[in-house]
Amino acid sequence: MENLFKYFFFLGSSVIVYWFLLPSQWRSLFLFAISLIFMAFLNLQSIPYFLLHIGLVYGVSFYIEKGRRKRLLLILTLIWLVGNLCFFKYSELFSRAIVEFGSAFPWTLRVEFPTLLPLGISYIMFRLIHYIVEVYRKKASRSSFIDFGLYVLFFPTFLAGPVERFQRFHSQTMEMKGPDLSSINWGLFRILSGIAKKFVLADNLIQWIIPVLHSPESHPRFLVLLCIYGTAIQVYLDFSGYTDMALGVARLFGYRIMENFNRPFFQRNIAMFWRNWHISVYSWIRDYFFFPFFGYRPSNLKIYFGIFATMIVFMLWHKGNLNFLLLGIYHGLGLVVWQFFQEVKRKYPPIRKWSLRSYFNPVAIFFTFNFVSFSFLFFRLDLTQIYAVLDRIF
Amino acid sequence: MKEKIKNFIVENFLFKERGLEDNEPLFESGIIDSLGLIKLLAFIEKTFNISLNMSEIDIEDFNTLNDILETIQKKMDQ
Repeated sequence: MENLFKYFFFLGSSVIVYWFLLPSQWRSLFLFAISLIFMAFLNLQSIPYFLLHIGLVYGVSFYIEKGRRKRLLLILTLIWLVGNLCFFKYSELFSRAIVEFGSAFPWTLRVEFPTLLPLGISYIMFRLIHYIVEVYRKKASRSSFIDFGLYVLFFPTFLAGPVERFQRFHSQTMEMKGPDLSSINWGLFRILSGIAKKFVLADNLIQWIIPVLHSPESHPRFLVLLCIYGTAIQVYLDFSGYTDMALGVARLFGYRIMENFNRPFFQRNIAMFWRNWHISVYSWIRDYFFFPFFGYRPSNLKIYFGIFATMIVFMLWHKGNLNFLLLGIYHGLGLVVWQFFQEVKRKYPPIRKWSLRSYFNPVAIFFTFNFVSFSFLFFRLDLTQIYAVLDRIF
Repeated sequence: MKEKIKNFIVENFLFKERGLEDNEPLFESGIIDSLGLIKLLAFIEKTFNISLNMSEIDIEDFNTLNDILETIQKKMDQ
């Protein structure tokens, strides 16, 4: 609670200085500086690391713009950025695997990898990758180093997104006008909404759900099922609550950041669910992984494989463990089956007509919600616990 | 060119149940999703004998029928 007060004091002071005490041409520098200060409070050691990468990508972008060996530069930069991301995210996993492997031998193998993950590394790397690819595609306008640094480290969103697109963010930086009361009202409302969702609803809901899911055999089946649904809702409240706060804080400084959720549990199929859940990262993976690797002259088989691989990568990005690998397979299969059903509907109009009947919509939404809800167990429970829950239900 | 693309979208994504406006957003409205875009791109490449480099594709270049026509024309002019 004390940290929350400190944060809001920091925020309130920054907003006042930003709008009322600074000339407009100093605003992006100020915002960049307070983003660095915010990061310093959380993890001082990350700053040189990220500044180095911002400088690297910014510098490389100049050469790519000039067209000098641009493809080679792009590929090398992407390998470096993705390599860094994988190294920090999975270094602990690798070091444990190496130590376990080494324990089979008579000599002792000691491997120490840095376990200090630079805070926000995923989202920052996503922005850097997005920017350098868009420069290559000639879709990103030239910006100053400060404006680019602000885009990458913008403090409301650097930690956990949304991953805004550079052009949308930068154009707002360039066109920033004076304080707008309706925007500030909107921002404050979203912050309050986010606080309610995250700290009131989500944090209390989890206290009720976890004891039931940890001992499902001791509770009625219906209650266990409710807690499964509750898990999905709790994850949504937790994450969307954070997003609300991020969007609200961004708006206090005049920035409109993209939404990350759009009624995901009211979607009628798994494809629509993923288009409305964690929108910024899902669209990022679609644009920078799925399309480049699987979109070119695809066969149906290549598309199915691509869907599968994309979901596995997406889930392993969350966490590199068996739970999330299985989650990737689960959702990959769901999407493949849905895609196959789309092909069946195209070939057989009577099936399509049946799917358009009025009762089909609520049934589809209910089915999709159940499919998705059960998958959220992988976020909260280990495999043994998941088995116990499913055993209780079925 | 417009009619060929429109017919493809109407047959494959709208199942001939209605027409398509030139400025109708294809993705926001849910007419085409990511996988549908891939099929559409394959159709465009084959029909107009152009090569669409996936590393250069931006989904917003294919957001409406007019956007698609503009993108294809630019590609043909290159």
